[in-house]
Amino acid sequence: MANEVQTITVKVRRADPDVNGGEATYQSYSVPLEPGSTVLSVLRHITENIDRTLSYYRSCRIGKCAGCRMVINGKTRLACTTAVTGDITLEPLPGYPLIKDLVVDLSAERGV
Amino acid sequence: MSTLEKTADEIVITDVLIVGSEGAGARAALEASKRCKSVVVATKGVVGKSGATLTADADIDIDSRSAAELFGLPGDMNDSPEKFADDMCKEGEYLNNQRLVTIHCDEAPMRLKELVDWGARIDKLTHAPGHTYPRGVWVPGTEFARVLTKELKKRDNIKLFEHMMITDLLTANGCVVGAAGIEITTGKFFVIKAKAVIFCTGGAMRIYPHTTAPDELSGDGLAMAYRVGAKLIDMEFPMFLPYTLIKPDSLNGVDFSYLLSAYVQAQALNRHGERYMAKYDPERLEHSTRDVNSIAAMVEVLDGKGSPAGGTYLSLKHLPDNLIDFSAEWFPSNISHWRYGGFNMQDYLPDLHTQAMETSPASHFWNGGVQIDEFCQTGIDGFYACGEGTGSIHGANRVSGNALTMTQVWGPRAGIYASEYANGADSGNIDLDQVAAIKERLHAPLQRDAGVDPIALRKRIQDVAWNYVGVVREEKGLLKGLEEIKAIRSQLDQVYVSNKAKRFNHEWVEALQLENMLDVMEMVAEASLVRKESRGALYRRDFPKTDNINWVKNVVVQQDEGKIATSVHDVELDKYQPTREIREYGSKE
Ligand SMILES: Cc1cc2nc3c(=O)[nH]c(=O)nc-3n(C[C@H](O)[C@H](O)[C@H](O)COP(=O)(O)OP(=O)(O)OC[C@H]3O[C@@H](n4cnc5c(N)ncnc54)[C@H](O)[C@@H]3O)c2cc1C
Ligand code: FES
Repeated sequence: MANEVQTITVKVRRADPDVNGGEATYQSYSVPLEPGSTVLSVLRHITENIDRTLSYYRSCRIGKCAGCRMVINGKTRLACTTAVTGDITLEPLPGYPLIKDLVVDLSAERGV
Repeated sequence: MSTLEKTADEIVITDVLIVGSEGAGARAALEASKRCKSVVVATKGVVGKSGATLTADADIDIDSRSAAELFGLPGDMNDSPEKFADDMCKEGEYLNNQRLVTIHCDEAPMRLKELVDWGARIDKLTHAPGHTYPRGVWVPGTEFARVLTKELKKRDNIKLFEHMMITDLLTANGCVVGAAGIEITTGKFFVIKAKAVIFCTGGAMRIYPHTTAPDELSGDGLAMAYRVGAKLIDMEFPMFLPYTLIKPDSLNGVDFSYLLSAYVQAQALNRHGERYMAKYDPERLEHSTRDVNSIAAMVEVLDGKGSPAGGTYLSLKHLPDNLIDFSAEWFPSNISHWRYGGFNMQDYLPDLHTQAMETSPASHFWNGGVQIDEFCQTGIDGFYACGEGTGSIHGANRVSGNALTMTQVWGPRAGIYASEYANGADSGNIDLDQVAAIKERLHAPLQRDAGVDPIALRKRIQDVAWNYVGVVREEKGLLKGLEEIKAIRSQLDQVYVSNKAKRFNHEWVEALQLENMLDVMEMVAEASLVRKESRGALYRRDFPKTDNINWVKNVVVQQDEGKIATSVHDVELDKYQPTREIREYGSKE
């Protein structure tokens, strides 16, 4: 049985308010698709093995804190519980001040 | 401009600084805000979106009679705070401080009542193992987070600093006078001057590669307390939960499989297909205690009988297909229909009709920690602690549901007594040399152009913790672990962060956590080496008996002239007394 590792393209919207006036660019990463991959495990793979400068927030990893909410292929989802099966585009949650890349200031939401 | 203003990017001045914002931290802040002019809460993550509290599944204990009287739940009127205390001491194998246990059980009902008055929705009452009566009032962790965050926001004199990683306590003349840290969102170096500091920083579960707890719980508070000379007690008792997923990697530590094993008769198998629990607890098998299940799995793995991922198998294959399918319908709401947290588990698990899950014990809770007295004092003026990461309350192990109780009882107490202290204290002087040295240390990994990779080093720390200071310990392994710790420590001053951006630099955060993880692991290893028996959450393979004749004692760890020192202390036993005997580990009196 051929055991070829499938790779996917992960396109991420990146911006750092300290750099280039916060101008956003899209960056693509090629990531191996492991069985059971989630958006969070893919992000972890990128920051550990490909690009240490990419920023995202996460805490619980089990869909409870909602700290990892982002826009995944155009829809607002939790990174940690969204299964990955093919190419994905990741963007920060709209409507909140951007801190960097996929991290936004969630404090506006306190008390919900 | 004074040197402090030149050294620190930001200076904050407050009466009370609370580090950690969740179950314990939020409660401490709410009490402090009633008593002090200014309260600062600094948290490494986001308020209500970090820490273990919100992940709880979640029962919170109060005595059964109070559950009936205060909330109309079907509690048992024969129960009392004393009987609850008795069960705590039994489960803690009599290492608990009984004065603290009494306060804990007496104050629990009133504190839960406050939470309910603030709007927390409570559900059923559960009867978990270790409790003589049903005491677990069901309040999901997310409900704690929702209510406490809402209350925190209402108080004008509480200022919240999110993404603020506190890295050091500041001291002057032997007193704690504030703390320093990095604001992760900006990379700014903060100095927070405070008359009193309360640590509510949770456990250190992340020193292990397998854990049910969130990533940020790397034992920072435990290590910082240690480095200013505080005493830490019962550090040899990190608790492990059996049967958590080890595959797929993305769900490492998820406890769905453990929860499932409580409702259907799952079989734990080693690589030879043996139902190995028959050797460890022939009567109860997989329904043995969490400790025995964890230890058994790890012994199998260490003896070369594990699964490819380094766990054991948990199988439902012996059950009829239609039974498996039906079970998902009647499972309790937190795992019903193969849903768990936000997961559809069917996306991640193999077909359970034909295949087994690969599971492993995972680090779940920190029984020991900073030694506190009934006023949450640590022995260092101006320094208080509460919640997970403090010792003295649970002893060698805790009963189910009692971690949340700990946050709700001891958070408020810390808030009250730290405020009283702050109101009578002058602002201490900040030692400028100390601040400058901290700043230099924190920034050094960013300034190096080459060196040791912090993520590789973190993984190595976790492997050492798992292999030598993990679920099953023995002298040979502990000594090897200590050697490894020494070797890793010698690399700390070469750690280099390749990402030079100041803003939300997680590689830098990883680098700053390394020393904390290492300090905590060293404390666990040293304390475990001292205890020549097995008890509660500690299993020593070379001393497999529980020795109630010689070892009803606490091991205390403290830094002395830069070196780790351990000491052994008799427990002041009061109302609750162990039987003085030596018995098999895991066989309760
Ligand atoms: C999956 C899971 C399920 C559980 N289920 C239950 C249950 O059903 N019943 C029960 O009683 N217990 C349960 N527990 C245990 C219980 O949830 C915890 O013991 C308890 O919530 C701890 O609360 P805490 O406030 O002490 O710490 P945490 O909630 O862990 O909060 C720690 C805080 O400290 C902050 N922090 C950490 N380091 C720093 C730093 N360097 N600088 C600034 N801030 C810092 C974090 O950001 C966080 O805000 C469970 C635990 C887990 C992991
Ligand atoms: S990390 Fe908490 S919801 Fe995703």
